[in-house]
Amino acid sequence: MRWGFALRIAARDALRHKLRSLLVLTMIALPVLVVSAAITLVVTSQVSGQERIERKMGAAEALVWSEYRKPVDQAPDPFDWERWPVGDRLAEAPDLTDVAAVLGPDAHFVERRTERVEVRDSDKRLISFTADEVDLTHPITRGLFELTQGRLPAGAHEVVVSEPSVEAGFAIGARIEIPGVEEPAVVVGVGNDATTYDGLKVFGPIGSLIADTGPRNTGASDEAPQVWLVEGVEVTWSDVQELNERGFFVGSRAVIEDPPFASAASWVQDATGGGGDQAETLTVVLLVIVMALLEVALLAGPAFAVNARSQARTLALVAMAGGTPRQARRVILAAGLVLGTLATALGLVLGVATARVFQPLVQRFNGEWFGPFEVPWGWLVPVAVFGLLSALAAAVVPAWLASRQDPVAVMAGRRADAAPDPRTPVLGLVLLLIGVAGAWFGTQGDYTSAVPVAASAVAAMVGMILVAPVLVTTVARLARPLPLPVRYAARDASRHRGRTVPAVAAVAATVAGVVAIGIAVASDDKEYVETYIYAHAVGDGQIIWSPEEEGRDAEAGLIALAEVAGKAAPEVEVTPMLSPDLGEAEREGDYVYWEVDHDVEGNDLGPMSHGGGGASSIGIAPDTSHVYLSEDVRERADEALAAGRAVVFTDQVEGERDVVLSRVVERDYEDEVARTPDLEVALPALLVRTEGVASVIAMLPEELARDRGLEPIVTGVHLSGVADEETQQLITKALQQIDPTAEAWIERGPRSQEWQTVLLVVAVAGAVLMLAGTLTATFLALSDARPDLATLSAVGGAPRTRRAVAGSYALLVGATGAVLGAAVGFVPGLGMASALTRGDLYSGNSGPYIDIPWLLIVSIVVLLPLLTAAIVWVSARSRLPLVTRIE
Amino acid sequence: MTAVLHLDNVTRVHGEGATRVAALRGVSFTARPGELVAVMGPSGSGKSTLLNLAGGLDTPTSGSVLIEGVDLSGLDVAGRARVRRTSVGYVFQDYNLIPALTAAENVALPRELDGDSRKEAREKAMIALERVGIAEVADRFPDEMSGGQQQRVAIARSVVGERRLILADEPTGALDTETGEEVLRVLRDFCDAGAAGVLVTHEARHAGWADRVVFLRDGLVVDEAAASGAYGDPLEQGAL
Amino acid sequence: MSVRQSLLALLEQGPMYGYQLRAEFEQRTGATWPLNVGQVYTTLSRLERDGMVAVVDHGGVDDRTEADGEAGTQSESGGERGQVSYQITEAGRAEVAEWFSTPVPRTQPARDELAIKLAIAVTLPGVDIGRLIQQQRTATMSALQAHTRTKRAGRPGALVGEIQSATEDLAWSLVLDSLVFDAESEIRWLDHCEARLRRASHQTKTASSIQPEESR
Ligand SMILES: Nc1ncnc2c1ncn2[C@@H]1O[C@H](COP(=O)(O)OP(=O)(O)OP(=O)(O)O)[C@@H](O)[C@H]1O
Ligand SMILES: [Mg+2]
Repeated sequence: MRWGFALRIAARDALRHKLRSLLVLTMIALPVLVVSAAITLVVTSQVSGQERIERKMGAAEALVWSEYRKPVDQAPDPFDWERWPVGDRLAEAPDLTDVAAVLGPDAHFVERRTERVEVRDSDKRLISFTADEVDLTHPITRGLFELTQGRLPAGAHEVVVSEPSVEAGFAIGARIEIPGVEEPAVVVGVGNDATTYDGLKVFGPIGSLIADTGPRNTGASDEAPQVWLVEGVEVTWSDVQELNERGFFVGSRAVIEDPPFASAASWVQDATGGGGDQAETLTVVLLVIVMALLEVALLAGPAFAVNARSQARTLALVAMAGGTPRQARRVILAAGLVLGTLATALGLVLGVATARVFQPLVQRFNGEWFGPFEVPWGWLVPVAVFGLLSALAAAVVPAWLASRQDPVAVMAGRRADAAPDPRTPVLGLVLLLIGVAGAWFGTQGDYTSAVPVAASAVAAMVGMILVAPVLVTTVARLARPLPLPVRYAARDASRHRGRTVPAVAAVAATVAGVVAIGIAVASDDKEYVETYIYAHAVGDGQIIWSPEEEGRDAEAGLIALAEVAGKAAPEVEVTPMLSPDLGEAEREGDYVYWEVDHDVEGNDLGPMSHGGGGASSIGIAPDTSHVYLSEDVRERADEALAAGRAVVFTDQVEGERDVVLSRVVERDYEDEVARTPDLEVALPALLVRTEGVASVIAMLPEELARDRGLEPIVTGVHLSGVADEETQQLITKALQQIDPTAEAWIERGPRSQEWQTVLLVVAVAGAVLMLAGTLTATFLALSDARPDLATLSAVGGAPRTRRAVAGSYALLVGATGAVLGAAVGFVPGLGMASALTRGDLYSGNSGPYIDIPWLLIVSIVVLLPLLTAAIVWVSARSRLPLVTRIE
Repeated sequence: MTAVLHLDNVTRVHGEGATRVAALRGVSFTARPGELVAVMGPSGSGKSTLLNLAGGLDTPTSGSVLIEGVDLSGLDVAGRARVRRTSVGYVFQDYNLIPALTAAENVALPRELDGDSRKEAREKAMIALERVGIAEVADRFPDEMSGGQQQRVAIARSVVGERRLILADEPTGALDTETGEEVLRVLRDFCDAGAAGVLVTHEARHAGWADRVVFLRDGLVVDEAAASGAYGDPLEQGAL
Repeated sequence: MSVRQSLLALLEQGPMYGYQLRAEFEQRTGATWPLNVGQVYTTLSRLERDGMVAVVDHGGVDDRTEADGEAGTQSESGGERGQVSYQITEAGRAEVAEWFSTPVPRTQPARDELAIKLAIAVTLPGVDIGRLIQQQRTATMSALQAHTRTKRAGRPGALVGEIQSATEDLAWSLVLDSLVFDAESEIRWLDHCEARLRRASHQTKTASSIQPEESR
């Protein structure tokens, strides 16, 4: 294996052609840079077990807590949910004496409690923060909180706050009145919490922040509500296991730092018995990698192709000097190796540097403090391999073609490429068909399977490349009746397929990408529009607010809001909306709602159309004018209401029936939810199908409601005729004078504005990339064609003709690539679209929605080639270039 | 002495039908050790074709090519490549050298391709460069050398590693008379030292350096001229 | 004939004997055009008659070659030509200067025999001109090869007078080059003739195949 001379030639050649080398470097280094920067940032943002020890337990040896189960099971590092409450529920927390018994008399415990607390400020604005009760003056808590201002709490009701809390009103000296805690807490210091970056957090001694309401057992977050910091003893893995037996989870510093298993992953494997659908995930990841590799390789390909062609004489000389085709191939492959290595190294270094530079910026979007800056070599090495592979892949085909060249012909100056193997396009067609078929099969069935879709995208892409040469030849044949420059360009393009095909493939690859994303996004948008549920007619809306009280107690406030709204915008029709009172049933902790799901005979009515669910899901009104309905439904509903019947909006059943209206109380227990209807009334009703557009599930005429003992109260305010945003803001402003939580919400229809900005950015970026790719490929091909163009001038072609030929060549490459790419882009595009819009368990089997952005596709296929041709035409130098045929 | 190169009744036909060209028609040709054979003939007479066949870069339509007794038709592409790096050296009219390699590296290339270490190959290359008298340009790149120097480097490359057949296709074509003569002298010296040389040329003056001159026309050998053995009185040869 | 001027030019260096002149001439022209002694003395006596050279008396051979300052008196032993050395006169110098300053006239075609032979052969039926040309070319080629060899082998007498040999080698090889170029140009001319003849024969064939139709 002698690569020495090949590497030498490649390295020196790369130096001699700096621009071309730079181009390849960028094409390969850029993705490596982006990926390695992203990975570095992600890994840095993640807090590993060791880093977390200090954040979670300060200077403590261990953290012990119970989740009211016994026994339990846990990983050496129990955080991040690596713990399982396997045993039975306990009524009370296991006794701490159990822990003391296991850990021995030297163990000391410091209690720490956390809870989400809500208070109202003087403006009645709701402020929600995390209360953290722990004795910060105890040395064991060192590392939990870093004081930056003021002092640590000394008295029983002195607290310190996190920096963001100051902005929320908890400056030093502020008093925080917490319901259930007798004395207000006084802020005496400000600092940083060890874990969260932007959260509102208040630290104080036990009893200063959290109202005592019995055992603290929700266990609903990864932060246990009550923990004990342990000091004085080292907690071993066997201690941990023993404590697990007694119902305690333990995060032990000693165990986490030196886990008893080779790796956490293997422990998980053992514990969970391996992952079932890992194989599929792996396949998809592999395919995505192959796809990206292909894309990068295709973009870098033209540069290597031109390199191979400019090295033609070198390769011929190598052959003359006794080099075998394999040795000749190495010269081009070595270029891939040299540039790939350089690009990868560059990409990695710049990627890590970029990550370092962007770390503070990204930190701002992340609530948790990042860990220390980390360079994840375990991830970066595969990324580097990827970069190298894509460079090699880009060089493989040119190298192979170059090794097949006839040295005699090259030395004699005959440069036409060998005729294409007739089998290649056939194979290409077969692959294309496989791609299309695979994509089709992949989207059949109940759910879209990613493997066939991704695989078929790869197959289609490879097929495309294999078909490209024939296409180029065919275009040359078709160009026969066209004017001379076009004809010349077409003939030239087909004679020098070695340079044309990579350019066409590069254009096709970018176009395929853009078309695929375009189809996916357009289809997604279509799904959004078509499944959009109107709460009101466009321009109508309601007042939304978060009242302190509910039900009847809130009625007065709501009526006041309605009055204010009416005054603020006299042209807006303001109507208080009535609903049956949920009464005393609405209690703290329970969730109460109305439901109509069966008739008096007990027949299931099927799923109800969408409604608020809460109190206002049943409307009491003489007609349906304030409910969003289609006109024919509205007519029938109004008739029914006038006739004293209820109207129930369903998805399925139609007709007149007696239905049962139930009031359901939903109570959250630890792990199950209990739903009990506590009131049921029978109603004569008309069931109408509305296909998911009504904002209520049923409407009742007032007399009927009263007759059944349902007291109408105001539960909402309907706003009608809010034509523009300004009126809406006017109303909101007026409302917030009374209640800062209130706001006018107006239906504006499906307008995905934010999404569209993203789409625009993607489209612009895609267009730039596409244009850049096309131009690069075209200019590379043209630089290779310069001797031929020079000949054209030499035989008397006017500068105009030269330009026209260059322009035609660009047009040809662009158009062929765009058509091919657009066609191929359909395969992954449709696959992705159907995967995205197939719908899910909740929205039902409504999809897939397929929308093909014809305008985008046509403009790419027509405009892109014209644009590149124009740019080439303008920038092609008309003066005769001094061309040396070789070097 | 046995022939280094032997073409036996070789025919080479390019293309088919209307574009059919018989570049060589039953040519037999021999080059022995120590012998420089010039091939002359008008353009298109098949000179380069003959040379390419001799170097195993092209395969005859019929007939056989033997290099040091080995029939090239029995070898595959890699086998013929091996013959080129061990037995046959090529020199062209111009662009003989790989621009990315120095003179010494260019000369060492056949040896490196054959598996010599870089150091070994360089040593052999330096010997060859000394023999053509330009060891001082060893570390220059081709674009830093004159045309004559480049051709001499090319000759050095064609003989490096004791190869015994030098094929030169108009090696002086791009040079002036004086420089051309120097190049020929180097070529001649190698032949005198035991190599066999085949020199394709348009110029009778250059053919004068050969021991034999073969005239080709339309793919046929029409004539052969050999210098008379002794350095006789030139006037007796009929000049003046 | 240039022998006359050549000898005169050599005498410009100083007085010389006849055989000495001959040797000097052959040194420079590489024995390409050997002169016999008779030819030298005939030329010298003509030069003497024309007042271009003067006969000087002989002292010692070695002295003569050094300088012309000590021109001795005429030889006592008058009849013996071999003992006599020659000195150039003013008229002789003028002649030499004249010779060097005028180009050699190209009035007479140099290759008349071959040209005439070919011209006649072309007009006569039944002569295989192709063969004629080939034979001639082979012969000329052989001559050319011989010249090249001679040149490569070096000047035969070069070792004798090593001090002066550099310039004399040059003179000698220039003469050989002239022969080489002559031979080459003859071969090229033959190539040209051949090409012309081939084209002509093509045209004749084509013409004869068309003529019948035209004559009708
Ligand atoms: N690859 C080829 N395809 C078709 N014809 C060819 C090919 N190579 C050579 N020929 C033809 O074969 C004949 C001999 O070509 P060759 O190159 O050997 O001539 P040559 O004597 O080297 O000419 P020159 O002096 O111009 O180099 C020519 O008529 C040429 O057109
Ligand atoms: Mg040739």
